[in-house]
Amino acid sequence: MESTRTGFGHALLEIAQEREDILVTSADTYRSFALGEFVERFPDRYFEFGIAEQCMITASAGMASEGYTVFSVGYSPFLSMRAVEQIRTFCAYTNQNVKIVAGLGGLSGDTDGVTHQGTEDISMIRAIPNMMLVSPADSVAARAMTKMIADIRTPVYLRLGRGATPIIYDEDQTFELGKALTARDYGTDAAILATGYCVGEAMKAADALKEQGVGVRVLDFHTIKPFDTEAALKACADCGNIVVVEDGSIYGGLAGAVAETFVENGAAPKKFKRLGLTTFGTTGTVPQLAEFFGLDRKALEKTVKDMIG
Amino acid sequence: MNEEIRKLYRTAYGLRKDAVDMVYHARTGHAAPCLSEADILTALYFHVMNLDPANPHWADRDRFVLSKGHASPLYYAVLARRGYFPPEDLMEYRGLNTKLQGHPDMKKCPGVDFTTGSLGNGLAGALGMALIGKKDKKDYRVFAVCGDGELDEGIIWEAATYAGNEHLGRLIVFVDNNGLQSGGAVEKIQDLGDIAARFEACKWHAQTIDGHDMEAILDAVAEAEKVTDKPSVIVAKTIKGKGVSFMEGQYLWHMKAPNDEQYAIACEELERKVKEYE
Repeated sequence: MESTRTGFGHALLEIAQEREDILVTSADTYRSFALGEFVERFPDRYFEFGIAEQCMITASAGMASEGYTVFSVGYSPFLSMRAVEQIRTFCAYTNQNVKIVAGLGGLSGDTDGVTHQGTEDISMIRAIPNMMLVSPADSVAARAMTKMIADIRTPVYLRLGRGATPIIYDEDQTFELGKALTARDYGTDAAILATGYCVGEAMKAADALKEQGVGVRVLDFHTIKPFDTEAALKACADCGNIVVVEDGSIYGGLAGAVAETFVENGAAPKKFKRLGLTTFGTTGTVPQLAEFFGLDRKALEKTVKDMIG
Repeated sequence: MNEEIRKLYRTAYGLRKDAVDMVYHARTGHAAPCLSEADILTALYFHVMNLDPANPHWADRDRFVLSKGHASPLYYAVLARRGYFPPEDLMEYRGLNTKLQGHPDMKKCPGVDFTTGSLGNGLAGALGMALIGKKDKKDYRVFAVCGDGELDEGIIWEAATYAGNEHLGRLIVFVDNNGLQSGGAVEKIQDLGDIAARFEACKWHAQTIDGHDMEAILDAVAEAEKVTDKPSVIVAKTIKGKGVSFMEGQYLWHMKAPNDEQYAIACEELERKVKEYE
């Protein structure tokens, strides 16, 4: 178990040792991104804005305009909503090299409740041109993808969690930005398309279903934008039964992206089910919330079984 | 009045005429907010700032952010007359997909250092540049011009607080204090109290001047430069619509284009002023 924030923080420290153009801007959030050592070792590359997300994002755009790669760390609800205009107009529209690093994505704000849950973040950010949207499923993915986004010079929203979550990938797992990862490929009875925390639940469901003779493919959409149209369409053509699962709003979220892709390309799934939020979240631990909102292994198992009848 | 000052006034009135031409031609735009800032932008671009228009991204140039981005016509006129692009392009203002967008666009318009238009954000952008200047021990200065109405925005005070705590002596900000915003008097819409005192509370050096007195503007910049351990704000008392009689002090001219008759009067008045300073 490890937080995706920890994976990010460790990766950034590694990169910063090799690259002097890496800066961190913080809204009193450096500590929660495992950046204590970064701050200690590179004090001149750490900029503390205090609890002022809007100012942090616009100023980060100003800093990036001077040629730097700026990792701006904060919390998903406050970045994707309170500072969404600053992300849109000053980072995305101007195509600045600012990485918006958002902890507390989806329901991971857990027992803090709705104010601290970024359950609309995918919908908000996906609508913004020029933005890449990356949503790693575990700490291994977060570490790998932090390094990958540091190498591109365009704005990225990196959607992270909060608490420790299961490690689902081996250390040597490779990732390609913009390409969904086939995390399980047990057959073509159904496909589960997932992102973030829900990928692990989908993998557990696929493993359990395999024991029951049901073959499921699990796709990890670690990059939601640009969207891997090809992988989604192939899953539809191969498997027919499609389940999309995410720990945030299905409106405009991953489910929205999948549905749009299917309709636009004339792909007709036999059955199509969206598991995600249509309401606000509530207080609870992440596993409790996943069960409460029907996003966990058990819900996925049941959904797939109901589908294949 | 020495020849340099006379020339700056002449330039400022010529730029006002350009801005009115653009708004008239586009049939829309923010005429009056351009006229209040004209003397400040003229002083900065034609006397104060180190620039190389042939090389807009020159690393050691002074930076400029027009936080009150709606007053773009005059800014575009400044950039054109300073040599960033041909003055005949000015009539593109607000045209389809032009480099002269309704609000300044750093990716489209040569010479624009930071995209603005969403009020309050310009100061935060200038803060980012000034933080990098300090970190990299650069000599460049960062100038910004804010409107007074946009001081309502919280982000202004987020940025002001950080700049003060970081002792950003090379950040020099003008407030174009014309006292009017879209819906009326600033003090009636939302009274800001003592603007200079607010910045001073954020650990800034503050001056209050007549924003249409060219010598006062230059003196204030010189004074601000002497203060190396604090950012500086220069609260410039200005007149919205300055130079066009029927726009002066009229908030209804915040965003409005003159009709043919009004345009003729404005041209006549501004051209007379240009001649006056020859």
